[in-house]
Amino acid sequence: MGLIVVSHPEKCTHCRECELACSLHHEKKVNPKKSRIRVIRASYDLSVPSLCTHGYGCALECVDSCPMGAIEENNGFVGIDEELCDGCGACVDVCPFNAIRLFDGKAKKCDLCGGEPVCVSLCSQGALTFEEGKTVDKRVFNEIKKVVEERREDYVLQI
Amino acid sequence: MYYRYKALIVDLDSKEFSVKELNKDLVRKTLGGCALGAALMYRLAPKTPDPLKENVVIMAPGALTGTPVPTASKTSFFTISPLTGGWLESVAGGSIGLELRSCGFEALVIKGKSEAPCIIRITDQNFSFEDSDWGSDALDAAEKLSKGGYSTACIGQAGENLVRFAGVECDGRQAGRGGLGAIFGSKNLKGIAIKSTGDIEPESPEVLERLVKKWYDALLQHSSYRDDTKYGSGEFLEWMNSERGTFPTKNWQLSVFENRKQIDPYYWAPKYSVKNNGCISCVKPCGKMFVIKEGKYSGTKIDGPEYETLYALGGNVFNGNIEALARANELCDRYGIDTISTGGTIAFAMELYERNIITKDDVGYELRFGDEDALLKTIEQIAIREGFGNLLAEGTARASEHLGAQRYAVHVKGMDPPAYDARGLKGMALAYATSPRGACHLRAGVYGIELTGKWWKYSDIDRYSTEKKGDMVATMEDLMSVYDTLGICKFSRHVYFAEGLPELVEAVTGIKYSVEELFAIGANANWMKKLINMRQGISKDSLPPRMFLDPIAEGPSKGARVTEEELSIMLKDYYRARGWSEEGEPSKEQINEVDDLTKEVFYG
Ligand code: SF4
Ligand code: SF4
Repeated sequence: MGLIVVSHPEKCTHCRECELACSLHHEKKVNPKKSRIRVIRASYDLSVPSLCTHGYGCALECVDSCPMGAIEENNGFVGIDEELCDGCGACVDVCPFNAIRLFDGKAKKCDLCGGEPVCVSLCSQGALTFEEGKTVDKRVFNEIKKVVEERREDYVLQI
Repeated sequence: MYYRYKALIVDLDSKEFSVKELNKDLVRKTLGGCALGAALMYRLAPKTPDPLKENVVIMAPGALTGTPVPTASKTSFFTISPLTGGWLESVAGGSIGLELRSCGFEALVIKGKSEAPCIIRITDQNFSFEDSDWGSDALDAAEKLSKGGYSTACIGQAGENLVRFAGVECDGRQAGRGGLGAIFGSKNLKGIAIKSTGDIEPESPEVLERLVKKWYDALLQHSSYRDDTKYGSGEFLEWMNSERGTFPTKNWQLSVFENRKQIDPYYWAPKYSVKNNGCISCVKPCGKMFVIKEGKYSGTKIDGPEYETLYALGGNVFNGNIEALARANELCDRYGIDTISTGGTIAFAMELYERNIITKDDVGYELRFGDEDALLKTIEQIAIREGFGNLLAEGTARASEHLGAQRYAVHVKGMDPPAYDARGLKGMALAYATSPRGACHLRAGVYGIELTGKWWKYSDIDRYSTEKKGDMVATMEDLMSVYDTLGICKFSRHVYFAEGLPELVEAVTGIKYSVEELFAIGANANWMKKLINMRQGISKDSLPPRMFLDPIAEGPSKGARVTEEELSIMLKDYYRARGWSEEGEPSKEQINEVDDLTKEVFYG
């Protein structure tokens, strides 16, 4: 347990295959804005994939923010119970990785595709890896957080 | 429902948007991209003596563009070229096509001319015009336009200044060839920005997901994967020189570049490339982020240089300094001009200079082969249309007429050729001659077959022979049109070939087409391109004098040239393969079929 998808921006080509495939897998439709992973165009030569760190890069802000108790952490996996979620969007605002989308009245985020993340399997560049969350260097997360904060407005989805 | 059967029409004269319903049958019979674009152009493009005065621009994503089908990244722009005066398709791998499709449109049609510089902004179903400034370069303009998470297509100063080979910057990739950027400029259109939250709905999502993984694996397991992604499209540059001797150099006076070592990606990629770059949905990225950290060109940072640019701004202008080349590439990308035509035009001028046909008095400075300062200066002069650059901004063909130097002008229909010396590759010579947009390697994509003698269903192809070339070029033009119709990158054709395409088309669009039926769509598109060229008064398929008169001077292809007779034999075969007349005109039946197909492109 405790495996998460880790992003390595220095290798990312901004192909967005991960976003396209994530949305296809979860929604049966293609829509990068609904993808649980977003590839943030930080500048001409830097793209930063960002998604849920399942508590390893954050302080579980989403869990604390949810008035319905719909988000829970269990053994290094954070899941949203859609039955309980009432779509208020509190979690969307507090997640430092902008990892939560809100549409169709529900909050959605990375669920690791049941243990075989599609994004990782289609990242040709090795910019996404499936690793033990606790061994990831905190600086990696901090770099991503910084970019997310700067570009948040462009990538947030709350409809 | 995958197709929405809608087009967004933008009228820059009246500053109005309208949504039109596309004829369902037409969409299903053309699928998207190139074939749909050809049909719309056939109906909507005016017969225009001056493409900079009266013209349309049509944008259409490939049929699979916007889905995760690996390398289905291309969006095509269509217009009448200010460089050739005829059909232009200009293809780029940005994400603007995905956004247009998300908005629910198969095509964007831009008509008229804005009074002042403007931006078209599309946010889901909200359409607006914004005022824009002139003067920012293409990359800065893109950066600014994309704020808010928009995908963009925009021009730099060269497009504003109506440089006839200005291109359009598309999210870090370029629709480079043929002067689309000048058409934007002529319409006072600085750029287009699109963003949408809409869904794209493939007809069989589960099947598609499985196919995506299947083709992803196939692409990554291919033997060429490692070198293609490590060194980019210039990977075979050394081989092109030392083994084939078909690397055009010094305005095609030579075909082996003696100073090539430094411009070879095996040399520069490890030294300057900091990471890979690619188009959307590309899993085998050919782009290289090239960074110079010290010295005269310190601060240069570009996506490139790719193979054609290594020729255009390297061998063809006799520049063996990779740093200067990268800087020249950056200037082209920033000003927004096509690297191939920029290099072609400057190489032409350099030859004239060395032949004393033009002098320092004409140019204002020395313009010799291999002079990197002159190269960089001339790029700027072209982009801002200053001094002698103002003439070169008209392109090789027009400049050569003005100077009476047609003998040394290397172009077909006004388009400067890419980096395959067709004198030693007869099939390429034919492909240059027949390409509807003028000299091009990607309309037929036969260079690989010619260079290696085999590919797909072809074997024992002799590059010096005229045999089998007519049929091969026609077939390959159709296949490449299918690729542009679907939006799949041609650099994956060695993996998908033709046989891999139908299952993808079906999973995405729900339409079952056989390989043969797809070829028919490609052929049909090529008839329309030809008919549009004929309408524009461009019917002659020929080659520049140098290819007929000057045999390759040295190296492995020494002595090779194309005779007029050889070209006419190949053209005959080609026209026959297409079912065209000896003069290269589509048949009555073909014209009827096209007229029928395009009778009503919109409902109402
Ligand atoms: S698939 Fe990999 S390289 Fe492509 S955008 Fe996603 S993280 Fe970046
Ligand atoms: S959604 Fe955000 S806040 Fe919640 S666990 Fe994931 S990264 Fe942490």
